[in-house]
Amino acid sequence: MTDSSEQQDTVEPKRQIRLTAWHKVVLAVVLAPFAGVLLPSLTLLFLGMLPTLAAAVAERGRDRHLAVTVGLTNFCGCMPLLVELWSLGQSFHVIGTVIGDTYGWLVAYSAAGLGWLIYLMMPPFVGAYYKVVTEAHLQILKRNQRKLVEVWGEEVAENAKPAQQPGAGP
Amino acid sequence: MSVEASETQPQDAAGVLGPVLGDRYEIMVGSRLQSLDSRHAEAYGVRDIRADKQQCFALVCPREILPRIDLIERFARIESDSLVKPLLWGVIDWPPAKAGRYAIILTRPGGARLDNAAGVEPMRASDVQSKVIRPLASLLQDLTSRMLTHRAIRPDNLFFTDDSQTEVELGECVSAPPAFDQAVLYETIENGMANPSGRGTGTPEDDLYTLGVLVADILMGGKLCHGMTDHEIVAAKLKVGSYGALLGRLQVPPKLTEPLRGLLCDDPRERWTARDLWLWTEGRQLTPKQPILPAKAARPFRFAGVDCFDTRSLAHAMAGHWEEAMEAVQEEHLADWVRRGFDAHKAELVINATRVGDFAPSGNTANEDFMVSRVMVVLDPRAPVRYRGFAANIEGLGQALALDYHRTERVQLFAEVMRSGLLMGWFDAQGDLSPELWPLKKVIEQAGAFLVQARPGYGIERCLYELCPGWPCQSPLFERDCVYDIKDLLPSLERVVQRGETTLEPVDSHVAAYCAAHLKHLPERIVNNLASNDRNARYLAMLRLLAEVQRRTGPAQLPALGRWFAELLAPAVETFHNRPYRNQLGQEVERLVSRGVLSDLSYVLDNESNREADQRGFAAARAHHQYAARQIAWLEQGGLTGRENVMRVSRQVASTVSVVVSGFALVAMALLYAL
Repeated sequence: MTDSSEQQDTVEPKRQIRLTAWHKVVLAVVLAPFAGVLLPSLTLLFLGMLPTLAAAVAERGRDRHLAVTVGLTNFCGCMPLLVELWSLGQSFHVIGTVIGDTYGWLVAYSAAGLGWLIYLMMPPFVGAYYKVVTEAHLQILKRNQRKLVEVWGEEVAENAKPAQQPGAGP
Repeated sequence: MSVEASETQPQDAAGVLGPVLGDRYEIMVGSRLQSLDSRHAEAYGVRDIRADKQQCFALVCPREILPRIDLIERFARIESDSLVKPLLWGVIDWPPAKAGRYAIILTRPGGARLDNAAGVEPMRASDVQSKVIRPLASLLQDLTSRMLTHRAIRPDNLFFTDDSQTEVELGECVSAPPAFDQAVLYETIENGMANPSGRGTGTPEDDLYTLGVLVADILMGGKLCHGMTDHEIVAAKLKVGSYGALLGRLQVPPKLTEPLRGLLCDDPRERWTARDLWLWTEGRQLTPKQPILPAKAARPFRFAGVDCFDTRSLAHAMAGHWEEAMEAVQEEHLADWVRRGFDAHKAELVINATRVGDFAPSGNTANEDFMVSRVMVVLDPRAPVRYRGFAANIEGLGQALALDYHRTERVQLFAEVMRSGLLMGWFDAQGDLSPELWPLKKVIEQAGAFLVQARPGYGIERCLYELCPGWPCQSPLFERDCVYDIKDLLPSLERVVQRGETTLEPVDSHVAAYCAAHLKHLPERIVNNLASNDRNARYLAMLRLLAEVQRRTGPAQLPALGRWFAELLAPAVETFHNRPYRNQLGQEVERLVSRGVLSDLSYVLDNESNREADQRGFAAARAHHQYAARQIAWLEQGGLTGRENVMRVSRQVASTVSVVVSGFALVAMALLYAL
C-alpha cells in the first residue's frame, strides 16, 4: 500500500493512441473515397516529396526534425505542380503533362534542398549563439557571487554543494 | 544620614590624606583613638569642618564585619543623652587600606569606659541605681518604643558621661552585628547556646536581661561567674535559673534584689519590661518574680558523666559532647527516660526523630548528626538550631552565614542544615508559630530552594544575600569598594572599570546573586545564560542583568562600563554575517557607549529578531551562492555549448525556421495565384 505522497509523486505515463484493427478498417472505409478522388494529386505528391521520404528514412530518433524541416519546404516546392494539375482537371489523363514539367520538378526538389540546407547550417549558428550566451551568464553569475561575498563574507561560499553534471541543468 | 564620601581629601596633621564624610567630617587618619575603639572597628579623630567645638569621633569598620546599616538611621534619631549616637555614616575611600570602608561618625563619650584597664570597679547599690540603672532604663524604654534592640550592653561598652562619673552612657551598637561581641554570660540561655555569629537581632527583652547581668556584674566588680566556661554558665542557668546561677550564692544588696529577679527572669514573657524598670527607679513597688525552673524528672539521665534532670539540660549537654550524643540518641534508654520523667508524647517525638534517617545508608555520619540535631530540637525546642559546630537562632541564620562566610567548614555545615529539613523541623517543634516567624519561615524555605540550584544567581551566594540583605556584595571585583546597597553596585563597578581592573568578568556568582536578591521580581530570563560556555551568550546575559539593574536603580550613565561591555561583546558583533549591518551595528554601539545606557546597548546587541533576520539572510545568501556556483560549473562544463545540446536545439530551431519559411512561401503563393 502506497501513501498519498507516493501516489502524488508517481508520474502517469502519456496515453498513446493505438489504433486497433477495427479502427483501421473504419478509417480506411471513410478515407477510401477521398483517396480515390485525390489519387492523381497524391501520386504527384508522392513523386514530388521523395526527398522528404529519403530524409525520414535517413533520420534516426523519434523527434523527426529533419523530416519536418525538409518536408515543409518540399511541400511548398510541390505546390506549383499541384496547382498546375488542379488547373488541368486533376486526372490521370493530364498527370503526364504535369510530370513532364521539368521546371516544376526543379522547384520541388530545390525546395527540399533548401530544407536540407536549413537543417545542416543551423548547428554552427546555435553553437555560436550559445557560446555568447554562456559568457554573458558566467559574467552575471560571478558578479552576483562577488556581491554575496562582499555582503555576507567568505563564509557564504563555504560548504558549497558539488556541481551537478552538465546537461542535467542547475 | 548616609552619605557618599567627598572627593576632597585634605591632609591631616600627620600629613596623610583624610577622607571627608558628607562635606563636614574629616576623618584624621593619623589621629588614632584607641581608647574609643570598638571590638572590631578602629576609632579615629574627626574634625568637624562646620563646627570645631562638636565632640565626635569616627569608627572605621573592617570589611569582614557588617555594621547595622539597616538600623543606623533609627539610632541616630534617638534623643537620649545616654547613648553614643551615630551622626553620619557612609562608605569612604580609606587611605591606609587603599580601599573602601564603612565609616560612622559618633558622638564622643564624655568620660572613661566603665571597664578600664583595671577592670570594673565595684559600685554601691545606690550608685548602681542612680548611675547605671536609671539612665539605661530610660534609654531602653526609648529603644523599646522604637522597636530597637541595642544588643551590645556590656561593661566595656559603657562610658561615664563626664570625669566626675555621675552617670553612664551606653556605647554604640551599630559598628558590629547585634550581640556578636557579647559574652555568653551576658546573653539569655537561648542566645548563649548560639554561636556569637548566629544570635540574631533579638528582642528588647534580651537587652533587659543583659542589663540585669550588667548590674550584677558591676556589683561583683566584674567577677561574676569568674572561672566558669561558657558551657558551664549555660548549664548552670538551665539547672537553677539565671538568677540562681549568677547570684544564688552571693550576697545581693536587698535594694537590688527585686529588679535583678525581674530582669534575670528566664521566661521573656515574665521578665521585667523597660517600663517596669523605670517605674522601679521611680520608687514603685512591683511584684517580685520567682525563677521558673523547668520540669525535672525523678531520676536523672546520666550523660557524659553528668546527671541531667530535665530535657533542656540534657540537650545542652549533648551539644557539648557531640560524639557521645550520637550514641545516646540511638539507645532506647533515652526515650524511656523521657516517657517516665515527662510525657509519652515527647518520648514518641524522640523516637520519631531517631527514626527519620533509618532509610539512609548506614554509616553515613551526616545522617547520624542530623538525628542528634532532631532529638535536641525535640528535647529543647526553644534552643537554637544546633548541628555539630553550627548553632544559630532561627532569626540569626543569615547573620551566621554572613559572618562565617569565609570559613569553609562553617559554610558547609550551614548548607547541610539548609538542605536537611532541620529548620522546618524546628518550626514544627514550636507548636503555635508566632506571627513574626511566618515570614521568616517563608524566606528560609525560599533560600533552601535557591541553595540547591548551582548556577549564577542562586546557590549559597543567593542564600547569603536573601537571609542577610544588608551584607555587602562579596564579589572579588569590589575588593577596593564597598557595595552595601544595590544602588551602589553599578557606580562601584563603573569605578572598577575606570581603574582598569578588568581582569575578571563584570558579573560573577556574587554579583548575580546580589542582584537577584535585591531586585524584586527579577525575571528568570535575566539570570539565564550567566554561566553559559558560549562567551558571547554569557556576556550578553551579564549585560542584560546589569541593564536591568541600571533601569531600576540608576545611575543614568555608565560610559566606562558600557565601553567594557562593548569590548567584551565585540566578537558578538562579529557573529553577524551581514557586513553592512555589522558596520552599522559597530557605529551604533560606539554611539550608545558614549551615552552609557546599558539597556540601549543590550537592546541593540541582544536583539534576537535582528539576529534571526541575519541568520535567515545568510542562509538565503548561501543558497544563492551555491546555486550560482552550480550554474557556473554547469556552464563551464559545456552545459549549453556541448555538442549534444547544440545539435538538439539546432534540430528544433531548424524545424521551426522551416515552419516559418514554408508558411511565408505558402502565403506568397496563395497571393500570387489569387491575383
